[in-house]
Amino acid sequence: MLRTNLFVALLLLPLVTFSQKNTFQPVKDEASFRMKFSEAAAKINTIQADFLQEKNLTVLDEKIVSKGKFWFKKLNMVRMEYTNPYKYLMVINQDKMTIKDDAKTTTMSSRSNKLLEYVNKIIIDCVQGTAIDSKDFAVKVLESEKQYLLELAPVKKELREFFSAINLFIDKSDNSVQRMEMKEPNGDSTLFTFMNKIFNESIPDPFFVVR
Amino acid sequence: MLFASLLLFGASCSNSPYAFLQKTEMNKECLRSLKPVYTSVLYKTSVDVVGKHLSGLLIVKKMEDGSSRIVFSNEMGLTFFDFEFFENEFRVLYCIKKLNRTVVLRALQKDLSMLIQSGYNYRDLQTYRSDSFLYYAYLDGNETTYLITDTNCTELQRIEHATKRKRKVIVNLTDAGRGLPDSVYIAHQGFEFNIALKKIER
Repeated sequence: MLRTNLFVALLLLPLVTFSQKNTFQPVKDEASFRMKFSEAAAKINTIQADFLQEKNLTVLDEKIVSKGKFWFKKLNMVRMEYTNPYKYLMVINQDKMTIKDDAKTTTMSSRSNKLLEYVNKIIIDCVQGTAIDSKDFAVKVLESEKQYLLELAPVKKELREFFSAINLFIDKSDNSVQRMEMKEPNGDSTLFTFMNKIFNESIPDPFFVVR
Repeated sequence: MLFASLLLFGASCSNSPYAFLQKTEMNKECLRSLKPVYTSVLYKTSVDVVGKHLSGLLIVKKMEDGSSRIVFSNEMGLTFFDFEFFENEFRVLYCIKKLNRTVVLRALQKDLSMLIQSGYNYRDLQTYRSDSFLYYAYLDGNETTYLITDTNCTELQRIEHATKRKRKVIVNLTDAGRGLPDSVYIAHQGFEFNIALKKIER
């Protein structure tokens, strides 16, 4: 019996070690983190990355996984191109958002569409690093051995209709967003994981225009 | 007076878009066998409503208790609605404010219940035929839903929802088979409200 327990404990050991590494605690020196994070964000002018999106429907016990490519350019330009298992293009260029699906290309001004304005702002704030200073969220900063975690709780009622929280996981090695988790009021969530990141490689402006 | 009444009667009969159908007695059990069997299906979805275009993902899932859940979200994961269908019952479990209006919910309930064939009592069906199709009519108050198959009742090809005088919704199905169709096109008649679904292989 003792031997069995020991064996099980040994088997579980790597899991325990792993979870300890990923345990988040309040950051020791928040002021210093904020300064470091803002400095790092200021140095990033462009980002190119692959992304994996996992939509978790908790009650349905379902996961919808999609993949694509991500581009960001300061100021306020984002291109997200979904390639698998469906094709979909979303481009933010200043206050305009263009969406291209199988059927149509639609350009909307975020001024005329509140939801769009929020989504636009959240994406930009998160990748640009300005979410930490945004008045739209109450921010809690946590850290583990390898990551910082920004827990963003929406302050505005209009935002709380769509999101209960947004979590940003930031890689300590380069202070860039590694994962972004959007939690919805009904318990569902969407996790974006950014991989193969390339920083500050030139991206021409017309790349953020959909024709 | 009688002549005028007869004329009016004749006119109202010919107003029906289904006046060409012949009433016939058919085995209704075959239709039960065409009720879609599925566990979980994901559709790429595109909706056009009076000049506005919306796209997203629709997941249709059969739950262990026999109910069906239909969840619509945009491609970036934001949930728009979460509906539950169980026999004749319909529940809105979640819906964003913009869509949470009685007219919209009623239209979506009708359209989506046609897709999963929820709430039809197969015993009360009336049966008709044309040269090319069999029509299984399910009466619901003043409205009727027609489940339309080939003449051998081997595949559901179309569903129509109508009042006595006009068709209200036409649902075209492609490759329905035994599961949910590969593609679906729901077209409301008289005003622009169309939903196109295309199955995504996962």
